[in-house]
Amino acid sequence: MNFLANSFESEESLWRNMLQGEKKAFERLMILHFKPLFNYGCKFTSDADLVKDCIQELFLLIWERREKLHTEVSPKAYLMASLRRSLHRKLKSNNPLFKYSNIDESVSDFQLEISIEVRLIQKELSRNIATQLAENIALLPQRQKEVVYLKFYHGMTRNEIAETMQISQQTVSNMLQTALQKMRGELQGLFLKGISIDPDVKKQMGI
Amino acid sequence: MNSTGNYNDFSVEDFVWDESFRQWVLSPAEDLNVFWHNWLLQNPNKRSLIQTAIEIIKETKIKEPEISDAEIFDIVNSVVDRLDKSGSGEKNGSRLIFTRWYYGIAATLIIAISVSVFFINRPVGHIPNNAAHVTDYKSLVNNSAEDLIERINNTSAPLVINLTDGSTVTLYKNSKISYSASFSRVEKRKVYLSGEAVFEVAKNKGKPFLVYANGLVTKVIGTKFKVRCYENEDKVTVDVSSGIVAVASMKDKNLKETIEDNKGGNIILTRNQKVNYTSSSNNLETLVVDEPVLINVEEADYKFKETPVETVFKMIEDGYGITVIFDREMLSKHKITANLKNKTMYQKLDAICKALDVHYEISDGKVIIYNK
Repeated sequence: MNFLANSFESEESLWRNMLQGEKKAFERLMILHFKPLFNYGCKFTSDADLVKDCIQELFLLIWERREKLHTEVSPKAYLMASLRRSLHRKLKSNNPLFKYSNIDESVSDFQLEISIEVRLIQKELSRNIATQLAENIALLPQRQKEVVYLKFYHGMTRNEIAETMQISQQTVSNMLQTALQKMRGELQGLFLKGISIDPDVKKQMGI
Repeated sequence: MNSTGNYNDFSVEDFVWDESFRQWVLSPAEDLNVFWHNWLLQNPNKRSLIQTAIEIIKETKIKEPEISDAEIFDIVNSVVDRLDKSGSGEKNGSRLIFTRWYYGIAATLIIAISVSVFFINRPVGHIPNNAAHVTDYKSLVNNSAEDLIERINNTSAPLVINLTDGSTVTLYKNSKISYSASFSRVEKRKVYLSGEAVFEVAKNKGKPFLVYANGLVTKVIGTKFKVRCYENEDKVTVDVSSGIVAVASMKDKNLKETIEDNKGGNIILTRNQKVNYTSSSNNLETLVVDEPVLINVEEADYKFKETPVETVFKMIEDGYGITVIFDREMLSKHKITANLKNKTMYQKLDAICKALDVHYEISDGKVIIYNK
């Protein structure tokens, strides 16, 4: 997991130094962000090489335009937003069917897959919940999946997600809420399957 | 540290999706450790609940793509190396070590179906390697004796270039070609290519049309074909949509004879055929044809009346055990009426070619029919 919350301070200064032309800062920045960007990009396409190319292009472009960039931005959000934009553009232009479509979803599926190591889960309850969760997440609509991913697996704030996906913060909140409801919705169903639950847990679930 | 309320009232799923709790489980830090350990001490009855939540968080991992740290470092290094050179006007950064050049292929492009390639004279991979030969676009252009015109396409739309001999080149994204300033007057029509282009070549008997691309030379005998080779790609691909092309490696020591002077020793591609050439290993991907050895003792009936060309050539092939390569599409409508009995094979060929207004060449046991 790449929660950059702890290194937020240094990241801001890295960005600022990069903008001023410091190559070392640029290098650090790129190393820091490469994997998260790569992970994110690969959710939109299975073409890993395309994603790598886009990331390289992106950083080069940033360097070229560094004098025109804002100092007070969230570098992560800026990078993720730029990658998203350029990837979508490339994917659209390579798929003539979608050339004239404005629908974001149609361009690329958000491929979020949860893998569960069932045998590593000790408790039966945990196993059941985890399995159910994975199913529920798979059934989420594309953009909700994306929001969930950015929030819980990239640790992005509502603001950062809004900037990345080019939507309002309110929309982010709404989508998150809806998604969480859906993800948890099936929990009640587990009881009908007659699975024994810790009495404490039962109490917590309001049953 | 409470984001949405009192942790005492939290359910399993509330914990699973709580930011602070998740962070503690997945990438703990000092302050989080302190907080949560304390909380657990104060709420021992929640231990089981917490354990469930922890297990769920830990085991619902997202499947992420694989990439090694080494590869990341390589990529970062290559970008850092280019930092100085960027901003030099090179629009799409074609000098980067891209893992692959990605571009959209318009539906109108003619892409040939790869079938097989007739290999002439040289076995696969045994093309003599002349180390002194420099075969990349830049070097070829610099070393050219003639004055060259360069055309570059940095836009995303294909660029149509009309050459003075009547040929047309459709140059695709991120591609460039160079050709003689007096193209219609040179002895050999040479074009140097980096990228991708479709060529429609005007027929000119005396002047072969040659495309030089990253180690591979393509000579046009027919009309329309596509060459693809990007600067930092190791591979060159030639697709033929109509006509016939002959290809040879630039590293071929006898290149001049092989392809420039029509002496054979190259690979002939006919319509719907493809060759892949890898520059670094000087390797041409081909299928080797079995040499036909069958020779008929009795002469079959070589008296033709309105016989389709295809049949005629087939009879020659069967009779003499020699493959005849010709552009099927171009000659499909033609018919031969002639009595070629008792004539030698060469006489037969002469007569047929005269009737069709084409000419032929023999290359190591195969007959190749060319347009005039």
